[in-house]
Amino acid sequence: MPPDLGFTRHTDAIEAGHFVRLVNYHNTPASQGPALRAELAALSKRFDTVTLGDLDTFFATGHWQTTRRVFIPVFYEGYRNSAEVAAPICDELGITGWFPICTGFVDCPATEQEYFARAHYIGLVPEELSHHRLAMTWDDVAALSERHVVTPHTSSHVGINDTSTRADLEREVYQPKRRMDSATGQSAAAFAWLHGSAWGLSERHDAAVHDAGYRYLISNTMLHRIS
Amino acid sequence: MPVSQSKPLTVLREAMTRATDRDGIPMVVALVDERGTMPVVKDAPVRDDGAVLAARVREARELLAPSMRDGDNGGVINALLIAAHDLTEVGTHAT
Repeated sequence: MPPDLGFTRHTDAIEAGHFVRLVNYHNTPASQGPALRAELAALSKRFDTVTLGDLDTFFATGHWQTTRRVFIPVFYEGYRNSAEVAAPICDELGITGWFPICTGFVDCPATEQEYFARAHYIGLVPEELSHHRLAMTWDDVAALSERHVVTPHTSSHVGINDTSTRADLEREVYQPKRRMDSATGQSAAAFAWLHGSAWGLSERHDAAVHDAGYRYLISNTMLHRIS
Repeated sequence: MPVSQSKPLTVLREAMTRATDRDGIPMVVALVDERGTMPVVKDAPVRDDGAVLAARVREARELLAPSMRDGDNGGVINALLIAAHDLTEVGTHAT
């Protein structure tokens, strides 16, 4: 039976207090740093951000560790500018960012990253094209993991319809976690497919995400606790 | 007021035309436990906030897509995006 991804399931959950606000970012080039800082500063005046521990506690107790409302700033793909622009702004403001990273983008040779990005729906902005790298490095990932949440967003920015074989699942689901855990010394907790596919759409894909060792799946409209 | 000038539709239009090289896209997502049931949330401010957000989702659906089937996840995405508009400047200038 397909999962219930409808209006009523969502409004019932949200009305019961089971929700979190997100602000989803992609490229954060240097020229937009001041605007990003202003937006995050305004948000942090009204909301607290969420650590992985906070989320674990909420799923265990139904209680946030703050009396203020909460939100999660999410910086997708693994851009160099996420590490060099967005993360320092988060650090300055004392807020926690979540960074879903396409691990194949990070692994890709710098000279091939533009081609990789254009082959895998990773959007680029003109001012970035003159940089040596478009993706962050594994050293960046490790440094981010000390203050923020880093987690795989597949290897090559693919969705469940792009991963049909065991080798596909190994490359896009299992290997990214091992690679990231090796870089951070932690256990990456969450996973997100391209297009934000939800839990329950494919048993094979759910099993791979679960068996790889993730405990959350981030989808378009839900954050699923899966183990 | 025509639907085309309603606040939910104005918010949706603003949110979906935000520049992804600059602006954050506001969203609210449900927290669900696929292992079993979620713990009861006892904090009144959180439940009150959730009630406001849920009402916005229902309002968006009733105003903009009353004939849409309940299980249309694309429609859910739009309604959640509208509900989260208070996160950012999206909707500030909506009538």
